[in-house]
Amino acid sequence: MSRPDGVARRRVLQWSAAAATVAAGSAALTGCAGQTGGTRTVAGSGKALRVGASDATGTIGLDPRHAGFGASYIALYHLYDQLMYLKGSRYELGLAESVEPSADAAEWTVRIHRHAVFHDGSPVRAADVAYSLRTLATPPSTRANNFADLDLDRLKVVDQYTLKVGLKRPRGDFREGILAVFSPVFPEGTRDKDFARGVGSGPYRLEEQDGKNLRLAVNDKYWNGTSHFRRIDLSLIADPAARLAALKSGQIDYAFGITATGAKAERANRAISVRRGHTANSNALSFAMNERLAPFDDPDVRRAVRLAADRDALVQKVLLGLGTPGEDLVGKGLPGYAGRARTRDVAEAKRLFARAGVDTLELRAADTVPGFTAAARLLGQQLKEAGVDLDVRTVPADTYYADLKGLSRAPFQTFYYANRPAAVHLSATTTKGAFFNVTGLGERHFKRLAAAQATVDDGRREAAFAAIQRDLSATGGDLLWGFQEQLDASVPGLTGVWSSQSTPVFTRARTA
Amino acid sequence: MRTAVRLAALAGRRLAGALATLLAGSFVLFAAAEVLPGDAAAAALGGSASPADVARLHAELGLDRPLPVRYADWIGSALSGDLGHSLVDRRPVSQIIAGPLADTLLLAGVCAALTVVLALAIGLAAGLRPGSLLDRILSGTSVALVSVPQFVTAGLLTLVLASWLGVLPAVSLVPFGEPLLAHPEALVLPVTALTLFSAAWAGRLVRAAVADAAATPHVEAARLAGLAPARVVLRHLLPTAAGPCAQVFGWLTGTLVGGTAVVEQVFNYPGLSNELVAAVEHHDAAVLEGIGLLMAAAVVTGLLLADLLTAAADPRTRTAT
Repeated sequence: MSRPDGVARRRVLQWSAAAATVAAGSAALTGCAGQTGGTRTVAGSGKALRVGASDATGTIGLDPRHAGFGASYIALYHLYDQLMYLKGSRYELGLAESVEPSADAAEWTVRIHRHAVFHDGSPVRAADVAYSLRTLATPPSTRANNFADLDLDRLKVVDQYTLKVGLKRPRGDFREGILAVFSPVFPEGTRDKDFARGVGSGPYRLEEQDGKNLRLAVNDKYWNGTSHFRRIDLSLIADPAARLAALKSGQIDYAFGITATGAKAERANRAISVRRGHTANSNALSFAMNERLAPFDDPDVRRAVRLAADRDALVQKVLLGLGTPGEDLVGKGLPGYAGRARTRDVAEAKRLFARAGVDTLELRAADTVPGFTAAARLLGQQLKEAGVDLDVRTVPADTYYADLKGLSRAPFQTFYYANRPAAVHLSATTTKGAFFNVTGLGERHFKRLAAAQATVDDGRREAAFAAIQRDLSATGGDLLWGFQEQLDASVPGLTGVWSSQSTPVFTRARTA
Repeated sequence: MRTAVRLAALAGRRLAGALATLLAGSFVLFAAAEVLPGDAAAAALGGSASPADVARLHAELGLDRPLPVRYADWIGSALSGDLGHSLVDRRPVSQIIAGPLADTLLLAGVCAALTVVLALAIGLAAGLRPGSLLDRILSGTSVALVSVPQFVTAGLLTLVLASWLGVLPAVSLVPFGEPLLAHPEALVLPVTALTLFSAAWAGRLVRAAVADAAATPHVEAARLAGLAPARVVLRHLLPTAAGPCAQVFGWLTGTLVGGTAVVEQVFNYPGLSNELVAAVEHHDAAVLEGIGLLMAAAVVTGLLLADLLTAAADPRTRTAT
């Protein structure tokens, strides 16, 4: 019940795993200590929405270069406009009015909305966009990896609203693979301490922060229409049980991140409403086999492990049913997904294991996502039926990703990814330079991926990505068994909340 | 006069001993924080950092120097009040922990005051008549409270007082820029949860000290001499029990500061434990060491006070070296 900040840790790792990452900033907590049970009227009036969230960094940071998943991201999505968004299962234009490729997709033209204005009153210009991209693409930005293909010398401001972005290699998926993943825009010249002022062109502006609380006020001059709630009060509440208790006692209106156990327990409680992220906003949970290391260098062994797993049982028992069975690929429920249903075949698994001479396996497991070690033990029982003893070696979750050598040397380990569209996932985490190559992908994959990314024609590019997915699903190293949903909870009657990469956005939120 | 001099000499010796203990403890702490798996530079830079980036930040943060050198640097600055800078966001550690420290001290302080009063009341009520019905009730309740994990007690309090009855806030949220003290209701649940535990724990030890004192010959004699019960307790029993009680309360000072962690997590209390958990997660050794040093200092101070109180209460210890 008092597990310290599981979501935060999970998310920080999720982003690391997505080669995206995290660091720090400052300021959190909303004010309503005086309000006790039953005070649900504030959200109802449209005045303020009180949100409780944890944060991967332990503080709410407003610096996009280091933002942590959780409260910082929520603040970021309201203060800054992004050029594009991943919105549920689609990618959409944001501040960018259009994003168009050159014939070979090696240069892109970005046009921005003409009426966008920063919170300090200055207009948003192409120069600001160029400055933002440059800043995000350069260390100490922890997001630099996302922009690795940008050729910063060929970042050209054409006119006040138009910008050309040159790439080091063609990227047909520039929109969904780079801009939609992360592209907040801030004024030219913003550096270091300036970020604490949170000046963007987003639908909310920073009103107050005192290191413990963050209060956003609606931006009435927002180019894309004004929002219903006049204020958003963001509180840092680290523990998921405490967030749920705060919601139940009326101290907050929206709890970002509750546990599956909490969601189950409150199912019948009409005073709150549990909000399921479904597969579009979820973690893809995997037992990763490294195909460069024995015994997983034998495709038959990888196949046998996948055939032996009972994915439904894992989802039911470990995720308490609040999830979807996986098909060894990231991206289920999202565009471009090419996965196919899996069926368990213990007899065939047994035959393959016997033929490969495998009767014991060792799995490195950590609760980087709560329940991972339980899942590992359950997998052990399932493998037993196929004649294989699984030795589960548990390691501490908080240092799991710190031990990079351990990650690359472990033949078999628990691992998870943020569920994002397959093309985004493949580009962000399985390229040659990506940080965690836990399934031992090789040159052949990198080449195919680069070719797919360079394809300008949307249809052909999608087909190329689908082919890569089919290949991974046939012989890849992930036993990706389930999707664990992002679970939030709110007061009843709150509608219009949309999610981008599991982060709730309240610009269209209303109460009934 | 002679007594005062001896006490002062003892205080001096004990203080020196405490400082030596703290220094030794600080080295263990520093070494432990350094050998924690993981790396602040890598954590701060995130997953996309190249080994070269990490090495550069290492050099920049001075992490590439040998451990003893870094320790000497750190402890030297710490003694002059400078705890260094966070490895993650480069803010001064003292600035990061000042606010949370004040809130944790407030929580621990209120609990300590309540605990001393409650533990004395429980200890006297139960210890004066060991085996009586009152003793059995109080001792039984104390054992129950001490053995139930704190987060369970805290969870039950939240469930009943916040979720069901709605009379108290479930978590300690304090409005902008306002001090915690302006919202005493935010303190009630954390204080109650922490005090229930520490009063039960200290009460049992005080009870034992009182029971032992009640059985000593001179208290027995005083009682048999027909002195009024209140006089027996005040003049004869309490001075005998004072030493052990002082030890108990000395321990309490230290353990309360360290023991607030669970309660702070459950109630989202804005104290040190949030910073501590975050520091561990981010391998921010500087913050970890700063908080650890403060907690160690609190424990050592508590024990030092306990020793001095014991000495002041018991004439025999004053001559002990």
